[in-house]
Amino acid sequence: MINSRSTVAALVFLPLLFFTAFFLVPLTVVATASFTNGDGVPTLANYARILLDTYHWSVIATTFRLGIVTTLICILIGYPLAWYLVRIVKFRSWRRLCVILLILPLFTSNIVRSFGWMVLLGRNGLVNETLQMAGLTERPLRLLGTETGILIGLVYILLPFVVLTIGNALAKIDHSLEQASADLGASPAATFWRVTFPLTAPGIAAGAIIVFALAVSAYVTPALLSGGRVTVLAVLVFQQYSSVFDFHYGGALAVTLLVFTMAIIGISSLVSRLGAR
Amino acid sequence: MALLSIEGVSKSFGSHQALKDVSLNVEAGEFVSLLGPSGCGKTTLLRLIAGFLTADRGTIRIDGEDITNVPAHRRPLNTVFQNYALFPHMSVQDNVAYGPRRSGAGRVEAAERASEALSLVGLGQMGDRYPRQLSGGQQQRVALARAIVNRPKLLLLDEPLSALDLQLRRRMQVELKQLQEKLGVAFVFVTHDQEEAMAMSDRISVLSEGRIQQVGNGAEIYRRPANRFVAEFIGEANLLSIDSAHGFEIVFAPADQSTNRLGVVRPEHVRILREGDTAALSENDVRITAEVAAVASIGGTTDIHCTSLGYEIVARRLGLSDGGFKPGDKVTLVIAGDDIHIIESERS
Repeated sequence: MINSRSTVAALVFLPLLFFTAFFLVPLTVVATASFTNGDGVPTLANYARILLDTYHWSVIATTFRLGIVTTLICILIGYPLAWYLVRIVKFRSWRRLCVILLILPLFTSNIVRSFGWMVLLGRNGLVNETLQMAGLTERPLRLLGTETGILIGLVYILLPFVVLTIGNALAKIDHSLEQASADLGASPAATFWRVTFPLTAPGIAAGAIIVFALAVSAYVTPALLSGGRVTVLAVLVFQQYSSVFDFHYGGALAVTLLVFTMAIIGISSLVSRLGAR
Repeated sequence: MALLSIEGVSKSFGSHQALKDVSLNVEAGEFVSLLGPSGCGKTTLLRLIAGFLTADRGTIRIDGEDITNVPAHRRPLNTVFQNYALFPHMSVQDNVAYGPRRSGAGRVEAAERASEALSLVGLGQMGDRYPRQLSGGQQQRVALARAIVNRPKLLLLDEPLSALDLQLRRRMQVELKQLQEKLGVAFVFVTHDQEEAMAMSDRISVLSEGRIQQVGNGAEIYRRPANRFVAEFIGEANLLSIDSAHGFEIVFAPADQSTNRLGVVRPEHVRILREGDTAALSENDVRITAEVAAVASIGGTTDIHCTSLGYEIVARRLGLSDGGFKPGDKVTLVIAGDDIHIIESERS
């Protein structure tokens, strides 16, 4: 008994220690800093500075607009892609190659990939040249330094996560469920919307949460692709911590980002749960 | 006109030919089993009828209408799946109402029909539950209710009882048969369990290696198997090569000299007498001298294994008594001539 009890204690303690050391302690440090001023006196001034200022609200709006649109586009592109990989590809080696191509960018640095998009999206970049050659635009589009440019970069970087989660959900669906649906008279479209899609919803939700959380907290891609013209919360946080060294104001910005992110995820999961009823 | 008519259907998967020129008719209200060992093509045939697979060759008709290339969702039949395939994200009620809803019934009407179908299978109170909250037997009933709610003329069942334990399976066999007769639905029932097929079916279609070996009622295929496969697969059989047969004067050839005629004798048709005991013999009886090799009591019957002419011949006695026979005893095996079923031109 003693032996097994101490084993259990160790099994619980070790992850708890890890969690405390690498997550709770830094979070507490940041949160404490956000509620004090430079002299260590408790204050709400840092939050007042953020929440009573329209500039900050516009940054918050930009951040979450980018996050939500990135998530939606990722799902819209990722679902068909996952469908192709799981349902259409017949040859295992080709599927494996596709998955490798999908995951490979994750092994390279965000910075390298974002720089790549800077080159592609520039005035004389590949995207603009292609559009002009195809006769779709006369003058080069301004993509770099706009929300559209950041969006393209974020979608590119975060797409693999939704493809993997949705693909996993699709692969787990028992094929006989879709056959049963057809057997009961459902057209292929009805089978998709009433059986397949609801059963992949948890995969979509998992992918969406990952993408959204990474998109709103992304620093490198917005920083590089915005050209300084578009500001998101993560960029403000980085400036406070690395250039201004105002950990109190920076901490409040970080906590604001965290609270808004959790609130949006919470609300959306509540809405989807009510909608499922 | 047959309700379901299958003509010359073949199906291959790559180089493996799963079905070879299969033809079968099922009449309205008939219970037909597709019986065979795993890999014989019975499930493939069922999937072809359901429309989950398309035949390479041949025609499938329902009520005279060619449905060979009609997609599954437009076929006038329903299926009970082996793993039940209940929709996990829907309540029992919604699972059963799914069929009526898809065929255009309103929400209220679909709900009424679902409740009706559920009470028909004895699950009237379970509508609000989810499939994962039910036992295997209850899930089985939900699958059945879902499949009959649209009142199909033809129901396909893919080993529906194989996941249930023996007692429940026996009870479900009876209930299923009663339900089938009550609704007047034709059943095509896939099973590898010959007792199940015998107990329930009007006719049994025995499949092996992608071909229908024999179609008939249980007594026919047991008493008059069409070939060696059916004789060995259905029940137990002593298979003896026949040297010559004139009426009931049948002479068996030794085991090492196979002939093109095979005699099938069921163990319960072999009487065993002590050597020299000539009482109660009739002129139609075929006699074989043999030696007892082993005696085995199995529940209500006792099998006496004898050797003769290089064969092992099993004689089955009712009851636990071995009749005093011991290994090494010299005996006479007696088989009534009309209990020997002869399969012609069968190479062993």
